[in-house]
Amino acid sequence: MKNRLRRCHFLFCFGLAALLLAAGSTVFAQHEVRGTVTDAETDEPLIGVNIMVLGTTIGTTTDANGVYMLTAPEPDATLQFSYLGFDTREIPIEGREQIDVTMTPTEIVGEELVIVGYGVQRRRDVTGSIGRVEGDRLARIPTQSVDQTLQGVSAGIQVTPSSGAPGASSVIRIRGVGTLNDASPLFVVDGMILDDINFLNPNDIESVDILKDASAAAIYGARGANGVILITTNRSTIDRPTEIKVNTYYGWQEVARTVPLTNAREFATLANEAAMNEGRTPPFEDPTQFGEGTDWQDEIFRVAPIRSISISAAGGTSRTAYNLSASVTGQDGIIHNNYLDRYSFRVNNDYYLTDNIQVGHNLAFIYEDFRNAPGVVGTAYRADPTVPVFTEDGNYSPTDARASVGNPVADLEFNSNNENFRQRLAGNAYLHIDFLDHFRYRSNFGIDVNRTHNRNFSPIFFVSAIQQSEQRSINVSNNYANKILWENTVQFQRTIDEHRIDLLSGVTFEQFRSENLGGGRINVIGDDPSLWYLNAADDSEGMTNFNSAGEWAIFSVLGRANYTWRDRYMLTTSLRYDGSSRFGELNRYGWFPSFGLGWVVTDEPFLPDLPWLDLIKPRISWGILGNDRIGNYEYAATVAGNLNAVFGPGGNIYFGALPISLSNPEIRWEETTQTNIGIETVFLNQRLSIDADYYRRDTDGILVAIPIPGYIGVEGQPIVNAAEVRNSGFELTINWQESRGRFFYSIGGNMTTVSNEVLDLGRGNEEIFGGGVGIGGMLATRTIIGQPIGSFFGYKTDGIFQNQDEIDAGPLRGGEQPGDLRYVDITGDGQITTDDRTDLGSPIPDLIFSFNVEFAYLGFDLSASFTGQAGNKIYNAKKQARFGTPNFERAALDRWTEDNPSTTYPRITDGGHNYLVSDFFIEDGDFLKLQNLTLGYTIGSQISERIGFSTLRVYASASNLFTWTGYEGYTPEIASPSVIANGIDDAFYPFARTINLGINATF
Amino acid sequence: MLHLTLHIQMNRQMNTNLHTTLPAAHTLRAHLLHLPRLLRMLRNTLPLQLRNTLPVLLALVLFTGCESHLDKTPLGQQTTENFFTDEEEAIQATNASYNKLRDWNIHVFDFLGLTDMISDDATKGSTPTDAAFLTELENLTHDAGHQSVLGWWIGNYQGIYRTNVNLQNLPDTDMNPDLRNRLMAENRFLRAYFYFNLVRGYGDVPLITRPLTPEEYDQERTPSANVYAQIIEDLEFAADHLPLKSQYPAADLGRATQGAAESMLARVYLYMEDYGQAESYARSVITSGEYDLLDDYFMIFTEQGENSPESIFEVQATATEEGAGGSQYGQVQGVRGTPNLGWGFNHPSRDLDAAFEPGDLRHQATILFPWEELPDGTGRTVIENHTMEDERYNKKAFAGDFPGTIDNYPVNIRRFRYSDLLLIAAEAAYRNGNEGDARQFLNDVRERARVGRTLTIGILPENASPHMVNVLNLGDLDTRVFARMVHEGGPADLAGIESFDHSLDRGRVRANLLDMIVSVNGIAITDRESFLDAVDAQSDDATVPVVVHRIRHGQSPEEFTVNVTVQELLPDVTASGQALLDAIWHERRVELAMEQKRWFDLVRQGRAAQVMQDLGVNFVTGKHELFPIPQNEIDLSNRALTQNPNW
Repeated sequence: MKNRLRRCHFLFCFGLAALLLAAGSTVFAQHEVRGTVTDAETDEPLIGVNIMVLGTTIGTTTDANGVYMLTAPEPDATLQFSYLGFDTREIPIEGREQIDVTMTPTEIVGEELVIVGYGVQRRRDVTGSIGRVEGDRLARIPTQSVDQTLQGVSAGIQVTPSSGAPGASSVIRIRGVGTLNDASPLFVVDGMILDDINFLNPNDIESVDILKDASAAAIYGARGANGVILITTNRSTIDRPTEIKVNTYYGWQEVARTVPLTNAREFATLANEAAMNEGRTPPFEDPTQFGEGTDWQDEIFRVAPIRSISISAAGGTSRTAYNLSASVTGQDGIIHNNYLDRYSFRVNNDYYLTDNIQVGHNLAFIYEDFRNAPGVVGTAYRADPTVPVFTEDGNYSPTDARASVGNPVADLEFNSNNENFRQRLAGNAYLHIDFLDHFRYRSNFGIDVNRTHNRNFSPIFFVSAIQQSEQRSINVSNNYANKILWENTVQFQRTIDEHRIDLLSGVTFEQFRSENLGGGRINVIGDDPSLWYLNAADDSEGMTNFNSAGEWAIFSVLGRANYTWRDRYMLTTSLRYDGSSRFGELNRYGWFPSFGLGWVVTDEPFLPDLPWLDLIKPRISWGILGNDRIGNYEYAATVAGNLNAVFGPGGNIYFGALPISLSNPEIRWEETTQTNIGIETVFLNQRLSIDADYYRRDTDGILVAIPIPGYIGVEGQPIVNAAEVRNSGFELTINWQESRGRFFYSIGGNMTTVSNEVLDLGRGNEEIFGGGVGIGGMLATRTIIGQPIGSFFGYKTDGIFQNQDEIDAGPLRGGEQPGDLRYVDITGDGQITTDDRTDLGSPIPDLIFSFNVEFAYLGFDLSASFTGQAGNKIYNAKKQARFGTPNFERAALDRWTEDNPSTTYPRITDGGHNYLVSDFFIEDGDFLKLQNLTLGYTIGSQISERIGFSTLRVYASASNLFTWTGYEGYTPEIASPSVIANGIDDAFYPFARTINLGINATF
Repeated sequence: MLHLTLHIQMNRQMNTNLHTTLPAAHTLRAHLLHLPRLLRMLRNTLPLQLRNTLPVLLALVLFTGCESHLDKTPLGQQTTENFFTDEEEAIQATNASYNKLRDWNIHVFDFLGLTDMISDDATKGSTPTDAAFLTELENLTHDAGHQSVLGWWIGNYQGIYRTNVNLQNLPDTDMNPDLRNRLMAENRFLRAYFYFNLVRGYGDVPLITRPLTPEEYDQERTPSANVYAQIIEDLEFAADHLPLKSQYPAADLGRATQGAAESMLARVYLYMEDYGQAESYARSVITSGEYDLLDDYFMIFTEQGENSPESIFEVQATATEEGAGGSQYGQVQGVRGTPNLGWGFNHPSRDLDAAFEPGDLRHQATILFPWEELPDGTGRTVIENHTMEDERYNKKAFAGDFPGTIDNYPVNIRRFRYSDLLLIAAEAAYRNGNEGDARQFLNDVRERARVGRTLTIGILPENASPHMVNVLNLGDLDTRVFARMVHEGGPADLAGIESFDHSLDRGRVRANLLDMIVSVNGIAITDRESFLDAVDAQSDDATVPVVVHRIRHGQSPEEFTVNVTVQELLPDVTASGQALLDAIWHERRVELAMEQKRWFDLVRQGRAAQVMQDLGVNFVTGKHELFPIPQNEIDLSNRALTQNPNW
């Protein structure tokens, strides 16, 4: 690594040259000026106002009393006073030695700042679509992971938790799904590009900015196609007294919903019926002998605690600003035997070395200790309720007689012997040099060092034939992933009369390398955790070792020009040029341009000054973005190794190698062309704001594996840039807030529509099947031109055959009996064949929405946030996978029998006709969830100060409190990282309902 | 022009140091044509003193880029640029062709489904719902979308691709010409092996003899006669260039040999009904002296029996610490449950069970029953798995404990045995009118099955393991032999001896009936060996008293004596004409049972329809002789492929 960096010396040259220029431009001063800066409205002194001598790099800031002092190079120079939230003033010195200045606050809307890639922009000047969330909103709701807190915060973003396991990450989609591959957005934390944000301490977050359209995200070029999420963590400013904050909570989590299943007596009845329907001997002589039996879901779930304490200290001296934080969070899983403990530290400091040179760093260190639970949710869903957890002699009962699954409780004991640690150091250090009045050079060096360590032990045990281990085995693996990022940018900002110009250009280089190393042994000498090491095992047999690595690098040149004329007309253009090691020499580089226009109509003189109208700003943008998330070496023609042959007496292994797959040296980026038309409005003296956007994202050159005939003989399908997908829709955000005396309230909501359509799948690729379900992995989704990605595909049902006459009337697959599902003859050829399978709806919601309300009165605050979606389907695959005779959902009690001519549930069988992929297993995924409800009370300052706090708030908060849905699973929020196999519910770790009590205190 | 301007400015200001760093970046430079406009815009906004220096800075950045860092070579993987350069790599590449023989798609699930389970020899096995699609093969209800029909097709073509890549590259590889010829011959042998699978299974198939270019992807079917011609050509080349088995160094044991190529030629000609060539190649192998029948049939399928003198071609597998040499052929057929040795697929059928003649010990060498001791000598017993129906295992694919876990099964896949060749010789000789030689070859095989014994009383005895004695609660009996199987109408059956019968009641085993053999004609029986010795001591057709302990569920054991007629064991076949052919075919079945020969034999012999229909399976003549061409393949060939008749 060191060697490689040295070869990148040009970046140093760049930095050094800029430094020299900056230093060379500094001239020694002659004229001393002092004075006080105050707020024109309140007469309060302003602390930290920036004062610059125009045309020089000389500058200072006001102290805690609003006093400044500086030495100007000449007595007729001009001073520029700038302060966030106030209008900048330029005052000629005219030989004076004392200049007191008053500053007027700027209109709030105009000066609201948003973070954009490689910089900050006034909200007013933004021509792209950016959703912003302030960190205090995130910190007030206790959640352990940052990505979940993003659910519902902004239009256009869909956040679906993938599992309720401690530390599990969510699947995030911005404006639909624009690829058949990895559709996750890019995360940028304080300028450092990261793959996930789950490790962050939510209390550390200052703001989250979601770059949705091309104008905003194109500066990230080849990686911006799925949207960009920019996270800024807390920092401080100079000359500020230290403020210590403590946020702590304790909570209880429990499974939000369980699936209603049949009890022992009902199961025995149905199991007998299934056996008789299939011509087998009924397994139970007398179902009525059973009572409720075992509720396996009860046995695996528990009420689990979650606790967290986070302490931060922020302040600043005259040259240094610091923000330190530490937090400890412990979460036990709602399933037994798993937990996550996370310790995180952050140091975000800024050092003002000279008047024009500033350095600083944002560094986070995270240590995690966790244990994973085995996948017992599906087992508990299937396990036979007639079997007790333990036998009479205290051993685990075998549960495989009918259901063919292991005992879930035994699984929790025997298959959760794992230890995992993760250490991560992520952050960056930067250098700013301001030179020649309007230039700022910034060099940003980031690192992300991520190490995980896993160890998995299996003891000797015997529960049943399918749940046993004859050996003690141990598997250990170490993974490391290192990333460096080096960015060098020069920014030029200047306002000349009516023209505001902001130019940025730079180069960035990023390099990633990961490697894993591990091994496994059998015959470990004992069960004790102190023996869970490879050297505590017999290495004469069953030894495995592995090691592999991958790396990539990306080199980019970027530029952006923002121009505002008369504060009313805005133009943003950006251009990024990316080169990535993931693409072969034929298509290694790509250009990613964008343009955006904005117009503040309300500032036009021709418009009458209406008191109720604050802002109307239409904007439009267009740009091209890329997606480079493919394997590291897809372009390379590799020789497959380890195609070993065995020869010789006793069998010796001989290495074999041959190129057996096709490579595609022409592989290139997936390219998304995005158009956005939007309008921002503010009414009624800032009380009401309404933003609306229309977006269209066309992704072309999506990498797909092209199916070729098997007789070609190539192993694996060649990957080519072929498919095209369009996502389009509307976003609407409405917020209302008002203070009436001591009563404050706000109501806000947002909604997004997503229309997803596959436009092309490449030559020979009429359809791509995915989503294996049921026994044998029948494919339940089909991606086809004209439909949304990953639409469900199977038979449409039309009720149930009630009698032989109806069967004789057909159409039939063959072998139907009364009580079987009637499939619809789509082709109309009088019989049911595989050609009768048809589109059965999409897992992609048509509408995503959320809204929240907030009230505050006399120290009390109450907030509620809701989120929901509509129009999507869920495939209940867990119901379909019947391996043997597992437990039934209670809906099966209404099955068809001769005495109960059900029209909704077919006769009971364990396979065959009724278990084909059909809409019988598809349910509506619409839901509305009360995501969070929080009641807080801030103790009056007289009281809190007396006991040593400057502010003190106590609160109670509930997450995932209720979900209104027709879906009968654990949750209607079903996510899969695979976009072609999404919305398939196969019993994963469900989410928790959490009740927390917490304290926010400031000293 | 703009591009030029930038250059001039650069040259004016550049120092020598920069020159040295410049040439690295030609590709990037080509892309810069569009940038100057932006640069000029930027430059014009700059203060004068910067206007000339900034381009230098930018040039520095852009032209000395980190481009070289974008060349990332795959880590831990070889690329094609530096492959097939020497002898060592040529050998590795050929090893990759052999590697395919252990593959899932060639010799595991799909293969067992399309050879054994589909035939009258086996049923799917495992639990009723496990891999239910294989049941469709068993019932001949599969269709063109069946995954095994596709899987085996793809597997064989992937093997063909590997041999084709080798055959394309070997001629240009700098290496010893003799070794090159041998490797070419090995690849051609394997290609013939794969094509023979395809042409038997699917009829006319695309004949592809080199890697195709994308323009050639839409292939039509080649008449099977042409495919057979290619197979013959490949095998003849192999027979001409491969060493004899004995000529290979020991370390190369398992590679294709001249004998294997000639044996394959005999088999292929038999399928082509060219009996003259078939007999001639079979005799050539017989007279080569390279092969011999192993005395003990039981031994063939044990670990010690791997690569025995009887082995003509055998896919080598091994279970090592590293785990890289195993095959799932044994795993999927291994005992499911306790002991847990596999997945429990491919059960020998009741029909096969009944096909063995009384006292034919190949019966016990072929089928592993519940409550029987494992052949690994550990004294463990197969415990009845109550989730499986009609449980029996393929003992020929058995392996006991092995290192590691999954995919690490050490069982060699015996693809061509000498007894198979002898029976091919017998059938070809019969067809060529040489009944005497045909009988001789056939009786050679039967003689070995007798293991030196001459007599039987129609009872296959089995050692009662301590485990079984315990489970059946037979504590007061010692662990002697019990009667495993009594054929209906056989001498023991007529004498009233009944076979061991057990049933399941709520997961507990209940023995309904069990005959423990106490003595034969006064000779005390303590184990199977003593039983066999006692039988051999009797004279043919004598009726001798056999004393048994009969144990019935819930009753005390009862001792009684039955009189059993002693018969000659597996007598030499003396028949002629059709009866002789039938005898040869029957012998093929019992000798090669569960070795995946049966289905293609039945089809070749033209009696698949009769045999399967007799078992109640709806075999449609003119349809089921071939598998369907996989529908996926027809679609992906842009319908250049056609479907087989009646599918």
